[in-house]
Amino acid sequence: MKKISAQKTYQNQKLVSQRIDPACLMRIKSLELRAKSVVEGNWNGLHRSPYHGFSVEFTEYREYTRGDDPRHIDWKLAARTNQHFIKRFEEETNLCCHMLLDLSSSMQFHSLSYSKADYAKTLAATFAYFLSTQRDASGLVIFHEEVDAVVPARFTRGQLRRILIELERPPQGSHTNFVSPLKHAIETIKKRGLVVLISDLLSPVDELNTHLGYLRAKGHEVALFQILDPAEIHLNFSETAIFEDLESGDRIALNPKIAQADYQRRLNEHLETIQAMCRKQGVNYHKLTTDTPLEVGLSDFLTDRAA
Amino acid sequence: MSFLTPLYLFGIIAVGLPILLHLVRHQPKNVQFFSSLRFLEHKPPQTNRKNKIENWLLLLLRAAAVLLLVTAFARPFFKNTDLELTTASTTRQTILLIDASSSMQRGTLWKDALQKAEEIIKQAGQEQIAIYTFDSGLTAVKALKESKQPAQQFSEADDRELLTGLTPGWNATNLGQALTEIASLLQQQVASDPTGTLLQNSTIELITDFQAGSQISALTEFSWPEELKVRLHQLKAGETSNAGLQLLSLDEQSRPTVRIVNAANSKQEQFTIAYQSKSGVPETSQPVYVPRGQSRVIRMPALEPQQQVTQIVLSGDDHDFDNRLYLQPREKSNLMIVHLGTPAAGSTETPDYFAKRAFPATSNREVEFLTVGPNSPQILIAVAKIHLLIVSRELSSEETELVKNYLQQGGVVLFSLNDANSGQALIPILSTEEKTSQNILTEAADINGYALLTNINFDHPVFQIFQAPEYSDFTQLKFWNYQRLTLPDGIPHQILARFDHENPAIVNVPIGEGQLIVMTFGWTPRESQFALSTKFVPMLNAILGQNTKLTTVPSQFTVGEKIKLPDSLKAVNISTPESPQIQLTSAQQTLKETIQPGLYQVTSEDETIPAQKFAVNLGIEESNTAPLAIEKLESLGVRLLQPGETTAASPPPADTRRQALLRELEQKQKLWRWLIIVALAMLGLETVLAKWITGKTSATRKA
Repeated sequence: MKKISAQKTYQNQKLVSQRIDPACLMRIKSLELRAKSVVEGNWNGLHRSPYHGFSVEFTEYREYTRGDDPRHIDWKLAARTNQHFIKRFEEETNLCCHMLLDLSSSMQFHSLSYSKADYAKTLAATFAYFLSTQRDASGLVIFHEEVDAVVPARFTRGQLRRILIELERPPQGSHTNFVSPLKHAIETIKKRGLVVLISDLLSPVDELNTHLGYLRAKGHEVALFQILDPAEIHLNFSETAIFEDLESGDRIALNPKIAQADYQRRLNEHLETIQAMCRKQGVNYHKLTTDTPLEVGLSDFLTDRAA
Repeated sequence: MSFLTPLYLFGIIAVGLPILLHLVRHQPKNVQFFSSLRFLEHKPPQTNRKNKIENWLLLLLRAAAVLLLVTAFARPFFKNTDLELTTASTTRQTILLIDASSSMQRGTLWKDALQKAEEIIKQAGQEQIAIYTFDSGLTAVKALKESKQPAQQFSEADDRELLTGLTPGWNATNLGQALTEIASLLQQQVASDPTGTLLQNSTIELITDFQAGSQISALTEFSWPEELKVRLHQLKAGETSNAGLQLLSLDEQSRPTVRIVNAANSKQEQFTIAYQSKSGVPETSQPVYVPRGQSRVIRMPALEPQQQVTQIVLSGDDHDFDNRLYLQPREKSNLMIVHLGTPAAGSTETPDYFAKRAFPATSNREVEFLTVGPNSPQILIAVAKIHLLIVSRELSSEETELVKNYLQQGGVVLFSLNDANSGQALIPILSTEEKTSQNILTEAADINGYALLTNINFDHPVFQIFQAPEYSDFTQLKFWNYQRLTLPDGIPHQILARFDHENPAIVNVPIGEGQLIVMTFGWTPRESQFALSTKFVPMLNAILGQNTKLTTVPSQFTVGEKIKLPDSLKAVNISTPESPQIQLTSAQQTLKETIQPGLYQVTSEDETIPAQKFAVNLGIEESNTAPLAIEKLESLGVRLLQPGETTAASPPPADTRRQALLRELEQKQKLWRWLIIVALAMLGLETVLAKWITGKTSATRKA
């Protein structure tokens, strides 16, 4: 455990100095290249080799009872304590990560040169790429008002390719609906794993709580990445304009300078609700703005994966 | 400042419109897509909380433009003192239009007319009255402008006195022209009338026999004003039978062709027509039957000169104003032509042979041709009696003097250079000075074959008759020899034709009052084909016609016709049928005083010019005394008043008059035009300013 936390600290230090500006990164057309840049450019040599020490891991000591293989007796401990304990090792299995990616219309919003969807896709690709280098299984569910595409979690040779193909497909949906992907995850994922939900979480989150609870109950680790545009947080538009909802198409005339305070208050309330919910359900919550370097997201992911 | 249409000022409310538009916030045009509107509150106009007006200058411009437009529509004007001065009321006016044509001489018609006129003047009372008479033209007795004077200056008695001085004339009736002229005069007055009711207040009282012979065609080209009304007072003669005479032609044998016209309402159809001599005795009378409304043409027996017949008289109808036809048979003129040449009886070798035959006697003229040879005794004829002098031989010094004298007195001399000797005779006639004489050259020209006439001046009276293309061909006329004549610049002359574009062939030299026409060739067949050509006789007679004493006046005219007198009749006396004489100044070339039928004689102060006689007769239309259908006048647009009907029963109320005056004042000032111009300028400025502001905002938006 200590080793891991030491690693994390080092990573964070490294990150601060060597982060790639996401605006530069987004100019790379290939999603795979982007992911590779994030993962390899910064993480090379920072993690343990997948071929060392991942096969078995110490879990607990147990008192020797008759019938136990004496090979597993911890003799050093027996010498110290004069008692026989069996050192138990748990076999290390591949991590199974399920990414639920929201590509609804609201994700198309951008105040920078790229949208939240682009950012989210790159993030998902980065995770997938990282997992593939770690020989872990990764799966992808793309959804909007319903589940759009599913790549079941596997660790096979072409898995990364499949995920990237799905990610590069143009989005088609409009509304956001968390229920169907979460239901899908609950129903289809049998093996415990890490469920990563990437979304802007701007739609009502009433049912999200219940389904996150189900997921947690099934023993899944759940990480929630909320992707927000800086403009969505600050509402820093200068001109009075007609604001059109990307999902519903509703329009209102608005002077953003006047509406700013009220908006931020409401948004913060919403975010706090989500955070409270996550805390309650034991879900790891991460808020990423699209100007945040992707390495931060990856580092958060690693933290969650290690946990 | 006052307003003509103040109700338009309610339009000022429209100023609120730009203010309102400035207050109302327009929906922003740019659309901002946003991920979710869940956290935004919908408060469209209020969200701005910017009810304060932007662009004050634009608003002011717009409001000012609206204000100016509204004011312009309200037709503003400045009241001034003129208004009060011009409020004088207009009164009604009556225009008396009395027919004074010759048909009004019938019976008691003229008396009736005057009586009617007096009645109208009496009825009119304080109204303004204008009096006009008309026949072939309109004559003002008391013109419209005079009648505008205050009423006291012209009393009823004055008007009546004016009437008594009137008499019917001998002219034809041109009712149409009289009416259109009166209407035009009134329309001119309307232009200066502020109330515009002058035409409604005017009545034309037309007193006429309204005969069928009245000319009303002038009304067809005139748009009769709607408001102007005519009251027709048609006078009727007791006896209606009337026939008239018209001279159609008087031929060379002095046989007059006469047309007899019977009026449509005549009772008589049988008439007698006869000559009447100076003594008043009818001769060769013959009965004529003319059905009513028709005409007959009769050829009268020839007049004999000794009869001294001056009139044709018709009898058998009730009215004799048109029963007399004056005749002026053409008088024969006696012409004297003297040829200073070689007399040769029957010989075609001499010019005399042809010249003699070129002037035949006609029914209009007797020609005396006198040939004076070189050896003939001295002629004893006064130069004044010679109409043409032809020279074709050498002249003695006395003869030269005679010719020069003749020319000085305005005679015409034809000089033919048929040989070199005659050329020598020409020189002293042309010039007395030796210097000039030396420059005059005559010599026989070298001719290769024959010469032709070219450069012919067809505008000159000598050649005028050949002007038509069928006569203008002179190429068949060949000249075997001719004399080359060179005239110095000192002698004014006009070359009428040349030989082969070079030497003069016919030259006109004005000397004194007369004309010398020099032909540089001879006309006998030995010298040229001229005498045998078709051009010879017409040209020689045209040269004879150059004598101004021979010009005559046509002998038949109708009453009122203008007579153009020939130029030669300077300072003439004209004896008329009744008044003793008319003296015309030399500048006057037209005679307008043919105011009555009869025989006229024009005598010139120059005694050598014979007296010109002509007859003036009545127009035949006047004989058509049947009444004209009133509908004809109405169909031409003239508004006729029914008996008992009056024009514009009530004068316009004071308010209307005042309104009319205000309208006029406003039209004079025309302030609305300036207001519209300023408003347009403001709108232009507003457009420019608005564009500039838009450009500025969009630039900042882009930035």
